[in-house]
Amino acid sequence: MKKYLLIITDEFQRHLAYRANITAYSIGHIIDVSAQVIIWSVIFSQVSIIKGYTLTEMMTYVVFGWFFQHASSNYNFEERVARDIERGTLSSLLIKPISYLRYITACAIGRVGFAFATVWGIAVILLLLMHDRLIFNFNPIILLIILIMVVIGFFIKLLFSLIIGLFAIWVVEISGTYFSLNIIAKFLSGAMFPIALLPSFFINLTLLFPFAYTLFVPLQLYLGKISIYQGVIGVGVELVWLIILYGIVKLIWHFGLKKYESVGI
Amino acid sequence: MKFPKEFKKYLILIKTAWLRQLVYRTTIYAYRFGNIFDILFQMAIWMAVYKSTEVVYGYTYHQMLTYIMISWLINFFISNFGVEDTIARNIQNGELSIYLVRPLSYLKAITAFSIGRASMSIISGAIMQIGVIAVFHNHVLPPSSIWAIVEIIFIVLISYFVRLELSMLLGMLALWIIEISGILHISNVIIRLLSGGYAPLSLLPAAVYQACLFFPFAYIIFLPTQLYLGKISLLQGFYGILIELAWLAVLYVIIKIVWRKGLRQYEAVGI
Repeated sequence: MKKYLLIITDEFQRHLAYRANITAYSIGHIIDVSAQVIIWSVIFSQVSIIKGYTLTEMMTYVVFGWFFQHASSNYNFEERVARDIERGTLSSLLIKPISYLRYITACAIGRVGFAFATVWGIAVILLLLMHDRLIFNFNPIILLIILIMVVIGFFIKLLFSLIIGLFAIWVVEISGTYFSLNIIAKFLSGAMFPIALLPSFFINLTLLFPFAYTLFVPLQLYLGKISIYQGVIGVGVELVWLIILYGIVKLIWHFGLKKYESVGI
Repeated sequence: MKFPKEFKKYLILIKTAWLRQLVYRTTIYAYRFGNIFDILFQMAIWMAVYKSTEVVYGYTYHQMLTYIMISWLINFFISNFGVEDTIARNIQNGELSIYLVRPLSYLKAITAFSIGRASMSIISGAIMQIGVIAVFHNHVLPPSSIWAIVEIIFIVLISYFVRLELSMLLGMLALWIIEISGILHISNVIIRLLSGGYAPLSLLPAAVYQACLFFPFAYIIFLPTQLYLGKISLLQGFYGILIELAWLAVLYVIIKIVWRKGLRQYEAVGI
């Protein structure tokens, strides 16, 4: 355990070198959220309810949705895994007395540390700026369930990124693939807009995938659109997905290593 | 056809960049696949919105869908797919030094490179987007007039170079600030937003909208879509072209100045 803790702090410190850069990304986030707020405000100036969403609910969805999305984000970790494979760096990691999968998980955790702190910073700014336009829900049980969902969500997204990254063993250049998969995953999670706006067929479809449980479902719980009981079931579904994805990663890793050619060395 | 020698070397650069792109065919297709979803999701949002209302800020359902389709198409035509990253990388890695000792102008070389590199993506993007429009032709309005199309083609051609100039300026920032991927990220979000790439600029508060017209961004995507939808007259479109040409010239001068100052600053780190 201790060696992985070292990797986490190591990776955290390495990313402190990019403080200014990460902060610059954060400013981009604020603009991104502001753009969504403006567009929805304009739309809601013409109508009061869209598919059961009022303006304050939509604003809450945008701001908290942004927060959940980034609190559970691994910032394209698949690129790191793919790079390890493309450049052959993986070989030097394989001969070290650590498991690569655990090593890379520790890296991912350390890597998001600083970004996570800035996400909290921005969240506070957004909440202060928009406090009179948001819904606040202080029910401790709901907040606890949401916390659990977002934490599991981090690991679900991480496993998903590992799966995509490990594809690089078979397909060396995969930037286009993860670009596409990330858009689909983002949509399925509800980060682009509330899935509730879609016809019910699509809503049911997205609930079959793990992504909705990292963002859309916790937000529905926060907004009181689903009951605590349904929230707990959501956590259960998330756990099942976590296990399935873990199994897939293990399987891909098992077969991938036999295929690994260590190109680029 | 005989080209002057000066021109020929850049033609070779265009060709090499194009050939290099061909290696990444599958990757490019994969990107297009993602774009299709991006477009479909954007359509889905507006479809849901228009279930509850008829008109949003003067845009009917069909006008909004047309706006999205046409703005995506134009976006593909004018995109240089991250030339700012290439320039920044050349500076960060010190590769710029190699270019500087060659008998060609770096700025011209990077322009040639961007044309060659982007053409494959532009072609695939345009074909894909025309396909998407064909599938949803019931939701998309025809252009307001033939002359509007002629003006739009002019605008899009200029827009490619205005966008390229903006990318060059962003990339050159790396001469002063070495690690700039964060800044590039914000700038691209802002440029896309202010050029009307996400939603019509007229949705913005009136003051912001007016301010947008003072910047070159609005002329890149927003202006041609307005012409297409017939929301502005051909004469207004013509004025728009003149303003865009003026921006093209202004940005060119700025680039020249920044480049001169920047080269003195260049430290060739990373060599």
